[in-house]
Amino acid sequence: MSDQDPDSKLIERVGRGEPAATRVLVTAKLPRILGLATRMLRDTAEAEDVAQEAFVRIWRNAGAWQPGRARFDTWLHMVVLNLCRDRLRRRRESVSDAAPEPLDPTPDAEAGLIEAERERTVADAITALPERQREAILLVHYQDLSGADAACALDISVEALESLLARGRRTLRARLAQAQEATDA
Amino acid sequence: MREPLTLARFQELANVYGGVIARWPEEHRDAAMAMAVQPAARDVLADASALDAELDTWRVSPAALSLRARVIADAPVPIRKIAARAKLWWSGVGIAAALAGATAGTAAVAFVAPIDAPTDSGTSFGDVAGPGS
Repeated sequence: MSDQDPDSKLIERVGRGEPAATRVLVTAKLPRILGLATRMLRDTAEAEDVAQEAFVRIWRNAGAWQPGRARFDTWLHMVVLNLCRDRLRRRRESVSDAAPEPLDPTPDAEAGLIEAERERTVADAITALPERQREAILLVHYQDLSGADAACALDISVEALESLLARGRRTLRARLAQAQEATDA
Repeated sequence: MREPLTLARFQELANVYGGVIARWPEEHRDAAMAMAVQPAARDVLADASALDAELDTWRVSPAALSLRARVIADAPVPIRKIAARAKLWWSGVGIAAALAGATAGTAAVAFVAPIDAPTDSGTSFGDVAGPGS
């Protein structure tokens, strides 16, 4: 798997301090990292902190990067997941009953509000999933990781990942249908 | 040898990975594409895609330019750039030292120089006009 890592040459160049490679890597990975952290934490400022911290880890490790068990992108997702889990744990310890931050309001008028409401319903439904199911959905649906890579990032088997995904999607389907019925009523 | 893909397994894969066959495990994709022409399989994909579409409504804002700039600012710099920066630093120190020396020298000269400066008529060889003039 790792000998076909599409990022390995780029990481080597980053490790040599090539500014062009650095910019390419940031362009490719920052949106992915920020997307995962934002959906995990639902807090833009905290997600940006996580993204910056994840890149510090990249810069620290790029020079000595050795393709191992995981691809670079999978390793990066593991780093971001761990940083987010730490923050969620600290958040639970400090304010156990704090509600997640509301999504940024869409500036447009009514159509925007309806869209924002749908978005919030989906975000709430995913946030309410058990932790592992939520992570599995985020990695496969939103981060577009393959089943094998997502399983590697979560340190579980592909079969276990598929079970998490199936249960997560089933729960989401039911909750979103309920929310839709409530809106229609 | 791999078992042929059944509609039941097709349904399971859609329940797990959604309605986009490109996201399914590679070993099932060809068989799934072939099966997707069947009406029952098409219904399965449509059902899974409806959930995918709902999930896709949760979007996140793109990265701010300021964040991108902060991330790049933390990146390692090439060794020759570090050397150039060090050189610049040392030349800055040199310039500062030279300026400090010049300032100190000027101050010292101003402090110890005689106040009764030679008159305009004086030359470096003495007063050419002479005492009698």
